[in-house]
Amino acid sequence: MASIAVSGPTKKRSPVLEFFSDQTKWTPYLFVAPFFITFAIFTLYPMLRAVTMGFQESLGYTGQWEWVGLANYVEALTNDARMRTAFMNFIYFTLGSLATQLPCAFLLALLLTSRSLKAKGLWRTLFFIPSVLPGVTMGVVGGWFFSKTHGFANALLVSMGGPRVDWAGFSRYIIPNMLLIAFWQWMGNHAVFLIAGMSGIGDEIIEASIVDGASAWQRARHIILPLLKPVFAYISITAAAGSLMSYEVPYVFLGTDGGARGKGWFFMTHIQQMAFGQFRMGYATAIGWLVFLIAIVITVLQLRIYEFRLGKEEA
Amino acid sequence: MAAPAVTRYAASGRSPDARAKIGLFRLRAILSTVLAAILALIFIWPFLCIVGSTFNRIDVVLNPLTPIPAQFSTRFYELMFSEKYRIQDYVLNSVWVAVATTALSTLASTLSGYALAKLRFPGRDLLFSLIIGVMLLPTATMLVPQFIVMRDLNLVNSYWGLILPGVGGGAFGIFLMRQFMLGIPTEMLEAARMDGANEFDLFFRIVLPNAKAGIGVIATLSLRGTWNALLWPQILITDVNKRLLMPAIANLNQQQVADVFALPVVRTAAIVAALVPLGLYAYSQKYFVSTLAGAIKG
Repeated sequence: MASIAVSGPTKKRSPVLEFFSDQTKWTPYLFVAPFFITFAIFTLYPMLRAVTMGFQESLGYTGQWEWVGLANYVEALTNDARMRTAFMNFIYFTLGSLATQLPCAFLLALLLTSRSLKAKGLWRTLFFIPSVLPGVTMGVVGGWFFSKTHGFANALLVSMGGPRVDWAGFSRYIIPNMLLIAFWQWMGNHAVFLIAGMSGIGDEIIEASIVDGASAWQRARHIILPLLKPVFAYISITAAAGSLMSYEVPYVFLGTDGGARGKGWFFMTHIQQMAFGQFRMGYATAIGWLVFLIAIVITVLQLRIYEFRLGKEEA
Repeated sequence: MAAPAVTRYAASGRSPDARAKIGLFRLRAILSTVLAAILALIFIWPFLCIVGSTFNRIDVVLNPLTPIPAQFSTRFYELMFSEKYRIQDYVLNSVWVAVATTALSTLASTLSGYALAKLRFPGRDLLFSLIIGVMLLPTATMLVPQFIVMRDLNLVNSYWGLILPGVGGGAFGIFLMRQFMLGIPTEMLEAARMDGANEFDLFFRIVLPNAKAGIGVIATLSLRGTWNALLWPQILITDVNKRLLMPAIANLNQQQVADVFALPVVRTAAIVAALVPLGLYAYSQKYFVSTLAGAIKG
């Protein structure tokens, strides 16, 4: 043992010394270190703790934990009306967002790239603006827009001879209202991404199709649309993840009690209320894991459907 | 609109076919521009109206469909900055956290992005795949354990709890920066190495000045992200005086039943809060789309 202990370091030190004496060898690791260190402390370690926390329940805010086995997961999956609501809202909201925003974004992108259009940059900017605004601002604007007494929507309805609608009073308006706010916020953003994708399509392809006598619609449908697949993939993957994680707009627009008849719960508002409204930290962690799982399944599914690879080098 | 365009070209001595074509092009230009303008106006109009409503007098009824206040008043802005609401304090808190986070995280993403794009070292591709994997992980769902760890580290109610997790740069920022760095010519770096520049000189003297556009984009994204964030600052900072702007607005929004002025102040503050990302966007717009699009395609 002693001889190994003595000879070990002297033999091993030389490659270590060599490594540290050659700057080009160790600087790359130094450069990427901040990310991996902060990731380990503030993301990975909490995730490892979360494995056990999901099987525990916190006793109030005392820092004491009690082992409850699978009870959290059983409750979340079978006996939690808010969880069911959040899941259905997620499905409706995601599919509704994609179904309303993507076709409109594509048409808008076609309009904003048409050769004859003047002041292209101005229109792109105006449609893009809502997506840079804070979610809190969008929630407040949404609250004003759908206000019963002095909102934009009702003023418009009344001016056209319609009734004054109590938008916040009925659960059936929750998803349509959220979809309108999301459309407002994200459609122009999607269009601008599609425009950026279109600018990567070579002029030769477009000109060849014109020579071949393709109509503008045939060109859009059979040439531009298929070539934009990676951009559509990116948009729908980020939009689905975004609606799974949506917090600001539901929190501000629907309030902390889950909107009309408690039908306005989304996953993140539910987790936040469970953890910091009712101090059920263990239960909120368990829900967090379930949402985590849903997010991964949905992302992997879409990566498969679109045969999409992030960071792929151009061949 | 069509007739004048056609007749004007009819006056010039081109063949009837070419004249018709040019006329058609002009007609389409006018139609598409008018259509784009109408759609953009529909999109932006409600925003103009709510901005107008923040300049209205509280006791005068305003038609929500018009952006022009019935009677002009800056009362809501005065209220917002008054002793009662003190929105300016929250603005300062948010500025400090956003600037500190952005400065540190932008430096870290630039360093990492550069190393992953331009330096050769064992394990590079694995580390890059890990970063891509992390980017796709829905880590936001882990907010409860993250909070517990922050509590153990005594970082609750400390701005360091908001700043430190971002110090590593974030997976998306690193990914964007790497894609951007791929465009910097390697020969330039090799030439500097030949001249005896060390790795740090190389980064600060050659890479940084050539990466301004990329740095502009990720700094903008980071500033916007930290400025706009609600959830994490809301749960981590419970001390009222230390609150950031977004949680402060969201919190005031819930007091509108008890306080008549809360709602108009919330609206005014929400508009003012939006000026920061708007200004950032105006500043960085020219690089924005090309860099982001390059990252998706690349």
